[in-house]
Amino acid sequence: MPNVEIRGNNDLRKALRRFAPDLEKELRVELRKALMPVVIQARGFAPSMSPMSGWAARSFSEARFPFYEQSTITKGIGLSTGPSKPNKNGFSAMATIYNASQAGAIYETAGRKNPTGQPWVGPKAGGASKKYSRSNNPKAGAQFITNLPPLVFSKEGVGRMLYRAWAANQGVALGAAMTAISNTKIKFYNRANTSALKKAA
Amino acid sequence: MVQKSGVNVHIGSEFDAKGFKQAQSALAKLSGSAKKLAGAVGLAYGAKALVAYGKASMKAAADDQKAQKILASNLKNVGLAYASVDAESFIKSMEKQTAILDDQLRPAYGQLAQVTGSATKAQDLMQLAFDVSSGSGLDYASTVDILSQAYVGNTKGLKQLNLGLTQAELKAMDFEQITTKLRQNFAGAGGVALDSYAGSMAKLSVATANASETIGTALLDALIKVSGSNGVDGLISKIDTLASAFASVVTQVGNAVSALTGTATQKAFSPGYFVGGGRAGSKTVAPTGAGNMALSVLSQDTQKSDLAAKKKAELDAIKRNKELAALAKSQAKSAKDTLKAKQEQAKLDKAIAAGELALNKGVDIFDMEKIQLNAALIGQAEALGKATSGAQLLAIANDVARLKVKQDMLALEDAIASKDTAAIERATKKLNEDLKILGTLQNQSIKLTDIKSLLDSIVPKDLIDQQNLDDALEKIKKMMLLLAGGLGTINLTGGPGGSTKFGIKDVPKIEKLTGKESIGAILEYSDAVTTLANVMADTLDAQNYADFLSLVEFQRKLGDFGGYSANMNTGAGYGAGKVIVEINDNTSGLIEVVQTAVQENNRFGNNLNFAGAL
Repeated sequence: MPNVEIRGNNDLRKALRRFAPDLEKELRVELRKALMPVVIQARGFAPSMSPMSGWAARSFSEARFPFYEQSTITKGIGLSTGPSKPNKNGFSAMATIYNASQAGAIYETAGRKNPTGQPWVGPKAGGASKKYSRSNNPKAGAQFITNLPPLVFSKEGVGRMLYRAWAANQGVALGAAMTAISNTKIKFYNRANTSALKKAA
Repeated sequence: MVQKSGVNVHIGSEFDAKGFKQAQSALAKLSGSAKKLAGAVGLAYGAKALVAYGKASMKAAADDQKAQKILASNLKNVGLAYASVDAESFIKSMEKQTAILDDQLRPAYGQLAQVTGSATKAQDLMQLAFDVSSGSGLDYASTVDILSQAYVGNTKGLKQLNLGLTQAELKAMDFEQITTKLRQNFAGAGGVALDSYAGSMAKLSVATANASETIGTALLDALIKVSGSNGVDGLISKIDTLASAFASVVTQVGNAVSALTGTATQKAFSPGYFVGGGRAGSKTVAPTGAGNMALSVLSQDTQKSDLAAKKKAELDAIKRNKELAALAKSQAKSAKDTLKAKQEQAKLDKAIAAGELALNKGVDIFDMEKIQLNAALIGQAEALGKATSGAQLLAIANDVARLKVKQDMLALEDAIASKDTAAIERATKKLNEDLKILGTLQNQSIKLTDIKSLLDSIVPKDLIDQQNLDDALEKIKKMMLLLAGGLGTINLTGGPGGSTKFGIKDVPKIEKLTGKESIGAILEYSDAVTTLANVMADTLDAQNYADFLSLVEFQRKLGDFGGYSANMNTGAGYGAGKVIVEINDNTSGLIEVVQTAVQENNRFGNNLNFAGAL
C-alpha cells in the first residue's frame, strides 16, 4: 500500500500541480500527443465547401442559423488536457476532445435524433418549441440530413467528424491517453514513496 | 477546469463524489445557520440601509449641485447667464411634468441653448423632444441630440424618427418645417406615455431620485403606507412638501442661531423669522437690516440688466438663425456649383480624351509628314539634276530651303518634347541658319555659297564632283574622236577647231574645267557640251544618210548586171536573177517522236511539268 493514496482525477491533478509540476506538464504533453491525431483527423472530415449552397456563409443574412464555414468548424475542433468539471452525474474527465462550434455541432449531429428531420408543424403553428420544424418547407429537415454524409457510430457516440475520427482511431488514442495517466500516477507514487514531497512554489 | 460546450469526448472519466459531499455538507451548514441569520438580518439590514441611504442622498445632492453649476456655466458662456434661474425652474417644472430626471434635462438644456443661442428656443425644443422621444421610443438625450443637429442643418439623425420623408426631402426642409412636421407626428405622445403604467413608474422614479436616488422599492412602499398617500402622485407631493418644510426649518434654525449669537453684520442681513411654540409662545423677530432686497436700487439695476441681456440674447439668436439660413443656402449653392464643376470637369476630361486620341492620330500624320518631307527633298535633288536654267535652280533652291526649314521645325518640336536642352539649342541654331538662307532666297539675293552649302547637304557629292564631270567630258571627247575617226578630225582640246568631212568647220573649242568654277558655270558648260554633242549627232546622221544613198546607187548598178537589187527582198528586183534560200528538215521525225513521248507520259500520269505548274 502506498503511503499516499489519491482518489479521482481532480485529486491526482491537484497533487501533481502542487507537488510534481514536471509530471503534470509531462502528462499534458503525453495526452496531447495521444489525442492530437484524432483531432487532426476529425478536422479533415469537415468539407471545404458547404454541403448545401444555402448553408454557406454570405455577407448579409437576417437568419440566426449558423453558417457553414470550414475554418470556423476546424477551429472549433480541439482538445483539452485539463481536468473537466464534474458533470451533473458527478463524473469528471482527465482530458477532452471537443467540437465546440455551432456549425460544427450541427454538422456532427444533425439527424442523430430525428433521422428524417423534425416533425413539421409549419410557420403558422403556435408555440415556441424547438422540437418541431416551423419551416415553410415540410421536407426541409429531411433534405438537410440527406445532403450530409452518413452518421458514423463509435463507442463514445454517433457523429460525422469527431465521433467518426474516434471510431476510425479504434481506441488507439484512448489507450495511449490512459497509459499516460497510469504512468504518471505510478511515477508520482514512486516519487512519493521514495522521497518526501515538497510543495511547489 | 476546462468545460467546452458542444460535442465532447471525455477521456479518463471518473466519478467524483467530492462535489456531492461538499454539497451535502454545505446544505447542512446552511440550514443550521439560516435560523441564526434570520434573526440577525432584520436588525442589521435596517441600520445598514439607513446608512446607505444617507450616503447616497449626500452623493446625489452633490451631483445635483455640480450639474446646476455646469449648466449655469454653459449658459453664461453662450450669453444666457440671465436665464440660469429661469432654466432651473423650467427644469424642475419639466422634471415633474415629464418624469425625466434633471440629470438628463440639464445637459439637454445646455446643449440646446448652446446650439440655438436662445433660452426660449431651447425650452421649446426640450418640450418637443419629450413628445418626440415618447413617440419614437428613442431616449430623451438622443432625441435632443438629433434636434440640435437638425437645427444646424444636419438632418441625418432625423431618419431614426421615421417621419416618412426621404433624406433628400429632409435636406430640402428648413428647421421650422421640420419642427412643424415633428409636432404633427408626435403630438400628445408625451402625455399618453405619462398616463401609462410605465409613465407612472417613471414619475415614481423621478420622485424617489429627487428624495434620494438610491431609495429602495421596499422603503418607498413603506413610506406610502406610512404617509397614507393615495398612490404615487400623492406620495410625490408629500415628499416635496416634506422636503421644503424640512429645508425651511433648517433655514429658520440657522437664522435664529445667527441672530442670537452672530456678529452685527450677520444680524443685519438676517431676514425676519418666526419662532413659534414652546412655553414662551409665538414671536416674530423683525429683520434687523436690509431685509427687502427686491426694492433696492442694486436689485432694480440687476433686473434691468437682465432684461437688456435677454433682449440682446434673443436678437443674437435671431441673427444666428439668419446666419444659419444663409449658411444653408450657401451650402446648397456650393453643392450645386460643385456638381456643375464636376460636370464641366467630366466634359473637359472627355474632350481631353478625344484630344489625346486625335494627338495619337496626329503622331501618325507627323510621321507621314516626315516621310513626305524626305520624299520631297529627294524629288528636289532629282529635279536639280534636270534643271537647265538659273530660274529653275532658284526655284529648286527655294523649295529645298522651305523643306529644310520645315524639317528643322519638326526637329525642334521633337527636341522640346524630349526636354533635351542641348538638342533644343542645336535645333534652334539650325532653324535660324536655314531661315536665314530662306530669307535670302526669297529676297532674290542669292548667295551661291549658301545655296552650295544647301545643295551640298542634300545632293550626293558624286553627282557634282569635278572628277565625274571630267570623266563625262572625257567620254564625250572619246565619242567625238570615234566619230571623227572615219569622217575627219574634231579638235576638242584647244586651238582652232578642225573640220568634218562634210564641211563642218570651226567646231567650238571647249576649255577644260579647272574645278574652281561655280555650279552655274558648270551647268552652262554642260549645256554647251550637250549642244555640241547634238550637233555632232546631227552631222553623223547626215553622213549615214549620204552613205545609204550611195549604197542604194550601188545596188541599182548591181541590179543592172542581174545581181543584187535594192528591191530584191520584195520580189521586184531589177534583174531576173533571184536568190532562193531553202531550209531542209533533216530531223527524220524527231519532233513527232518527242511529242508522242510527252503525250504518252501525260496519259499515264507521268506528268513532266514541275509541281504546282498549271
